[in-house]
Amino acid sequence: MRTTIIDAHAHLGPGLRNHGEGSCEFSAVTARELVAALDRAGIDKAIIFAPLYEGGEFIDPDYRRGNLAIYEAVQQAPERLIGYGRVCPNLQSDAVREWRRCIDEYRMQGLMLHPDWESFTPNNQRLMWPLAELCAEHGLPITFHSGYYPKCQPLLFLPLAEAFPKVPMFLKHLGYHYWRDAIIVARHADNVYLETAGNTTSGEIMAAVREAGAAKVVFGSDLPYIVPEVVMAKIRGLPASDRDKSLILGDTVAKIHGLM
Amino acid sequence: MIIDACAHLGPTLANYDDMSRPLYDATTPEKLIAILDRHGIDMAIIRPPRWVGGSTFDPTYERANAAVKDAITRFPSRLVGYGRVNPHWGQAAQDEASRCLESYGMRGLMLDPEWENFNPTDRVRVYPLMELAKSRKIPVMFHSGYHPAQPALFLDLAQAFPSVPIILGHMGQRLTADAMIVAQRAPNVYLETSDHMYFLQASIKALGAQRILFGTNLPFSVPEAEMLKITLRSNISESEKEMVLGGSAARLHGLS
Repeated sequence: MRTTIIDAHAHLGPGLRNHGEGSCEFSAVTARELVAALDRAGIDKAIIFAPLYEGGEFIDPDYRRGNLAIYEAVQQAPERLIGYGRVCPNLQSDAVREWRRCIDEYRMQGLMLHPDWESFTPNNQRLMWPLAELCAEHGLPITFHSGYYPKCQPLLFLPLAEAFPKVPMFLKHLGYHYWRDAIIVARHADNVYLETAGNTTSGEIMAAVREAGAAKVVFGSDLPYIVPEVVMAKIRGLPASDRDKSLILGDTVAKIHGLM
Repeated sequence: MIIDACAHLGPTLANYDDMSRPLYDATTPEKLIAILDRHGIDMAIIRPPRWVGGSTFDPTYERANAAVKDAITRFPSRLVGYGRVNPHWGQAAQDEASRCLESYGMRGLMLDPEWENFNPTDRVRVYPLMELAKSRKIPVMFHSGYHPAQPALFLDLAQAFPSVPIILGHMGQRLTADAMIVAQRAPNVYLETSDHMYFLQASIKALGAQRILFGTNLPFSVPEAEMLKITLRSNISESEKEMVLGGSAARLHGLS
């Protein structure tokens, strides 16, 4: 059986229009545009969430409009798109309320958080635990931007992962330059997965496969900021088994989302 | 013509056993050329990989440079050589760099501030090597990315040696925006694309395609992916793609 290829990291919505010229490789404002990009790349499904909010004509600092756009896109292509909600944890009870709305009204399948952009640390119990508790209650994963000191280096995710062992957590970009740290965190927490988006190098992905196991590595692209075919080519070109590549390209995410 | 501006070759590749390892065997020129052939790459600019301790002892890169010399001597139509030295070896590094350029027929120098742990602004250790490059009219490629190889550190160096082409490997890695800011202010700065993803279109628009060089980082990266990141983009013209994939490196090194 052919693996269902799932891109665990795609951005969609009108918030993309706020970015400066040249930051996106193609338009992914609508479901139609995003599905066309998936078709070009041979990707079956994508996890989508709102892009990071930067000021512009589309005013959405609390991601309420961005989440609505995700909901509407999933309605248009439910067999291709998996919607995740996005909130700014510093908004505290408002963030929890929005995340609850994403679950109850929008039937979102997971939560996306960006400690660096939204300025919080994932080990901050006051901001982070209420959101994670909702995830645990509903059996939903969290996907995190991961990377740099002082807000999102990989080790900061370990206390959270240990406190919520049933909540799958994806570390995007393989922790950027802290990819060795990310591998160590994934080895120490069964519920932590490493995601390959963007600048993650093929050498780093191979190191994660070797050191943390292919079952802990998931394909994500970061489209439309990059061309997803390139990240797929990095994975397909690795000196790893076909079974390992299937796990990375879709099987693990399918299992987490009950698609297989 | 497709030219890979960033490939590694040599026996010390067999030393790697850290988390970061080669994906393919490129310990001999035959093996590297077989990889190039599979991907339709006409030429590669090769240099020794980072020396890591192991069965081949080579902290001065003398053995690895000799291996590069052997490869370019045997395959002159496919391989161009860069000499690599560790600036901390002082006069010995300068002597080895001179040997690479004068006796070995190499066309550039490769320095790695991150691995060799030196600062690109170091007047004692780096400037003499830059003076050599200036007198020989050859480019110097630097690994760029993290401390002490972040793009900002190359601005002063590039302005101190305006006639020496400085190639920033990996476009500053995750600091591409910084690499662009430096390159916009120093016309002798060029950016090499391996193991980097974002802002390629913006870099071409800001700098011109002739200042962007395609590289694979072989054997540490998947060449298909490194090529696709350039060929697949719909927002870059065909002539810009040709320039990035080989034209820029050909101009810079006098290849045809």
